[in-house]
Amino acid sequence: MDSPYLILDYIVSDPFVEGAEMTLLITAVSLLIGMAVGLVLALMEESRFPPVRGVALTYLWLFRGTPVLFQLIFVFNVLPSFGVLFSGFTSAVLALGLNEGAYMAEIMRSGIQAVGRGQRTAGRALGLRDWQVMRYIVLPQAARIIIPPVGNQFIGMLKLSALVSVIAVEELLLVANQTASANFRYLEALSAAGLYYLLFTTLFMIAQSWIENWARRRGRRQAKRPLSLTQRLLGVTSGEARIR
Amino acid sequence: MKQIRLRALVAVTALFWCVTPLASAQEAAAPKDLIEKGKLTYGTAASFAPFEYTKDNKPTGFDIEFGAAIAKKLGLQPNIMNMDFKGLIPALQGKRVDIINSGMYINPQRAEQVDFIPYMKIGNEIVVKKGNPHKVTSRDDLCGLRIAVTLGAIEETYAREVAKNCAAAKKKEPQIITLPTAQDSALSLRQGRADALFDSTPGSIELVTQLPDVYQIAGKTFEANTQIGIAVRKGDTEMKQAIEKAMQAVVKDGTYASLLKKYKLPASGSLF
Amino acid sequence: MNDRTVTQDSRLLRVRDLQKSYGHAVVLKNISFEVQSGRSVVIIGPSGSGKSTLLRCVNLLENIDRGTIEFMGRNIAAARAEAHRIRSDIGMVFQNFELFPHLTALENIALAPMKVRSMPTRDAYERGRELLAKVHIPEKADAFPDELSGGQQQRVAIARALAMNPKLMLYDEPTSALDPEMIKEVLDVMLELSEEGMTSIVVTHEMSFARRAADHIVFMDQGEIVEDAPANRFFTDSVHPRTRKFLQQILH
Repeated sequence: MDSPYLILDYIVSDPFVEGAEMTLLITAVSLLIGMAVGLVLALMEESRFPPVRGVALTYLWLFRGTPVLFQLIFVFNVLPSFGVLFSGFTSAVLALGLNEGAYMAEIMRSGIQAVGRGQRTAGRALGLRDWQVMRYIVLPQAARIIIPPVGNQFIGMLKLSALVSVIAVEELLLVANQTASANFRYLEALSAAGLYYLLFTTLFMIAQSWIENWARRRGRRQAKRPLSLTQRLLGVTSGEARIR
Repeated sequence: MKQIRLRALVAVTALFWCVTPLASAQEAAAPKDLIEKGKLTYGTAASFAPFEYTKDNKPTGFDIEFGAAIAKKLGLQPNIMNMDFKGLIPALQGKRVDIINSGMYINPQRAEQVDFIPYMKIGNEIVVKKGNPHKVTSRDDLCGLRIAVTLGAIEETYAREVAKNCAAAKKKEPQIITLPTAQDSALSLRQGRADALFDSTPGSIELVTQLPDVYQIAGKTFEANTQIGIAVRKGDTEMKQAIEKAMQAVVKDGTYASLLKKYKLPASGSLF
Repeated sequence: MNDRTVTQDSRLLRVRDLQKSYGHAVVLKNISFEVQSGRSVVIIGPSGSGKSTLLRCVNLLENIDRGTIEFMGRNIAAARAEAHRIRSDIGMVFQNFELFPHLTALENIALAPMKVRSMPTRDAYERGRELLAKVHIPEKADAFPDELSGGQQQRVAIARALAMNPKLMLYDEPTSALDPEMIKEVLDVMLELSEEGMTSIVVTHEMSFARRAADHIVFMDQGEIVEDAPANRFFTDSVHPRTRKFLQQILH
């Protein structure tokens, strides 16, 4: 069969569609776990108690200091010898989520710190307790500030999800590899997967710019110039480098 | 005068005997188009005991030693590229290796992509956890169970056949877990992520001998006449003939037979 | 009813021998002054004299090293654990307004009563509208801070502070960040509140306000109170040479 038709054939075939769904699912779940872990870590880093800060910093050191693939294989292959046996999917989102948390913590922290100190002072001056200041004044503002970097992390996570093919999770890349191994049509199988990835990342970038516009209407104090779609596609960020 | 001539004769004869063995070490002409001059570069997935595996951080096994002997007959140094099994054929087609020497089973689909030089026939076994908890007696008993296989390897093909047969018999299809290496499959079975795996007969015996408390063989040998071969690029007749010639030399001087014995492979598997 | 009791009842705030340092630098030295209930005190002085820091100490937003702060008869400096409760009785207005940008004007005002005093939403919003009317911008209830002018924002900030029914209002240079044409509208509101009897401490450069609203004026320099005198005497009879020098500079 002709290359282009075979690619299209693969794209609409059941295994590929299911693989794409799995990729999206892994991305979403891992990112949610990452955000929750990141928020907890960010708050721990700002704690008054040194041991709490110490735990957070150790976590960051461990998870930023080892490769994601290593962490993935560790969760999948090493934990069972401690009696902890997670399925492939659980191992995947756990490893990816915990790793993501270490990078999210930094994003959350900058978001929280970007909310001017005067805001906290004003809140306290009204008689609000510290946790109320965080909940009603700081976090709502921080949430809007971190939308661009979180959006970038989403796109990064989508691409990272391909790693879980090595622990037999049936996502896009594994499906493509299995198809290629069976039929030896490497070009077409991998192109089909590649097109899916491009489709998803492009759609997310468009969605991200919509969300950023919506957030700006609700009065963010920092007026950052929004990135054009071209800048996003080429990976231009607002000066943040994610080193993994 | 006679003494001098005798000594000269002895010297020349001795010299002759010394030189000839060196000359007969290389018995076939090395092909011209090698990836790296002076080396026979071959792809292998060194996680398939007893054919290729790593011991003390070095690759070892029947294929490794067989490959080294063949290279020597061509006057070349062996150059091993260890990779995931699924990457072997792309590497060969992409001219990143000269041949594939990885206990690759010969089947019609692969024969469309590469040319094979067969050198052994082996059977296959089902390996399960010790105690055979799912009471597996043959491949038909695998419906609804989880089978761990190496991605792209013959085991995956066999597993998918089992799936088809189960579906035809209106039984629940097995869940096929494809992993990068055979070690991963063995680990999966051990951890309880899979219920069974397929392996070559010698490989299965090796596994069960090493870890008798963990694994056991279930059922009888199947596909006992599958051949394995060294793969060359399709149409690469120069390489094919060179390897064939070198292989015959290795068989002829008894290296092949002694390797079979060393790695406890059945002599009945020999194709020569 | 003796003299002492009367004096104590009318003395809303009394600061005695307050001292504060940042590290080794002493920023407030031996600060002592008092504010009678219903009166307004204006604090003036060059920048860096510690005026803002003093306000923040009164509000327990900053720790002090030594001294007492008596508010409504109680030494609040020793009651840090209840600081948030004490702060709900003291309102503060900031130079940079510090309105919460993600909330509307009305929401800004209603937040603290709802969350600190558990006021029901409807009541909090009703009170909010009353206060917005009081500061003369009832129509801006649903506007976000970035839709308001500086003067309007500061008035919303005053309304926000008033929502908690404070006994004392602290103003930290409330008009310093405003364009000249908007200063009057804010000072007018502050004047009205003062005339209604709101006890206030105002840190400002606006001498017109000091002349009209202040009961007494405090001049601070380099962390000390240099002079503290009733307003009518301050501009004419001020004693200290440093005070005179400062007045000359700002009353050109």
